[in-house]
Amino acid sequence: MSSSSTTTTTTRLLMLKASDGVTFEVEEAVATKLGAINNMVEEEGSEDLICLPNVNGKFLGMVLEWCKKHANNNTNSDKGNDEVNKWWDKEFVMDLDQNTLYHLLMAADYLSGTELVDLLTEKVASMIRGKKVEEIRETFKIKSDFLPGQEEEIRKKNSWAFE
Amino acid sequence: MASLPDEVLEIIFLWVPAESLIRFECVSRSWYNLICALINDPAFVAKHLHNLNNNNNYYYYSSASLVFTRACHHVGFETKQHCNNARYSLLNSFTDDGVENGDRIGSVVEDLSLPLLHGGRYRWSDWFVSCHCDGIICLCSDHRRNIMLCNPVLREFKLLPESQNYDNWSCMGIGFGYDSRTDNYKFVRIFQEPRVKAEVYRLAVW
Repeated sequence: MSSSSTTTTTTRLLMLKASDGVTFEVEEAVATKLGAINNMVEEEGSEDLICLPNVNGKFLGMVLEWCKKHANNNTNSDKGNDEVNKWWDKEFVMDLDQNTLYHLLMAADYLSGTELVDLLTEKVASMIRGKKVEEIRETFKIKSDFLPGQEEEIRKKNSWAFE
Repeated sequence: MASLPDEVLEIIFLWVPAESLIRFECVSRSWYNLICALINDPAFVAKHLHNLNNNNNYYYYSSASLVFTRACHHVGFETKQHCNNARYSLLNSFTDDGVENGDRIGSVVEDLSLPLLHGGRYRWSDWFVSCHCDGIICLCSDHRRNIMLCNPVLREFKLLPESQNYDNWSCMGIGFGYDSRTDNYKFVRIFQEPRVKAEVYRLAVW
């Protein structure tokens, strides 16, 4: 019995359906890198088609590309793979434009891809540290909603951080 | 990058140095509330510290703060009556070689001003740096009678309660550090005369 269950887990294919109807056929070991899918597989057991109404095909594809890379490299675990993964990750996030980064991060968060969220949030952090408040508002499309005088008060309190 | 949920912003902020984080309080009301809550959350502070101490990730980032004293020749506006010889300054330097930014090293020097404790009884020149741990500096004055902990990056100061033993006992040493067993910072004062005795102050995480 144990041998048959091992075979099922390594070769089982899952069908993931994105919000725009695009489907992806992926090995269970790849898809379960995502906490949300892992939970669904554990709960629902036999269900092979998983619908993901909050992610579109483009970003789901990117998330799965990341999962595939990391699942493969986990199976033959030698030290060199760590370095390979790091370089791969670096390339992966290097040329992401802000819009893609945002949607990818939302997708990774929704799918509970913790490691991918870490990678992407670090990328966002590298883009915002040292920036001015106005630049942050522009990046995050935030409008100041302070009452008149409130912002000046906070700036005064933290004046040292505005050099 | 519109409307990231708070739990995602929180993870981003773990990788943002304190100086930037404090500045970002001004972005909006919700950022202000989130950042104020986070810098008072021991779990966040511990993770943030861990990230800055273990920056072995690909976005190599480091920041260092140095507190030093320097001669002060001009009279400060609010501290007119005190400013006679020396004051503490904080030097922050940071490198940031995020992939798209290229190498960058910046620094900021800022005077630290002592809060007016006890109606301005204490002057900066009275205090000496005794020891430090995880960015918290332990200052002492009046032959180690008065102890103040200072988090220079957050500009926060805490005066420890005075020792009840001080008038009768002689103090031979003080120390400040992190106790991993109780996950807390401790300040210790050791007395020698008439017999050896130690006082331990436990602190909530800053």
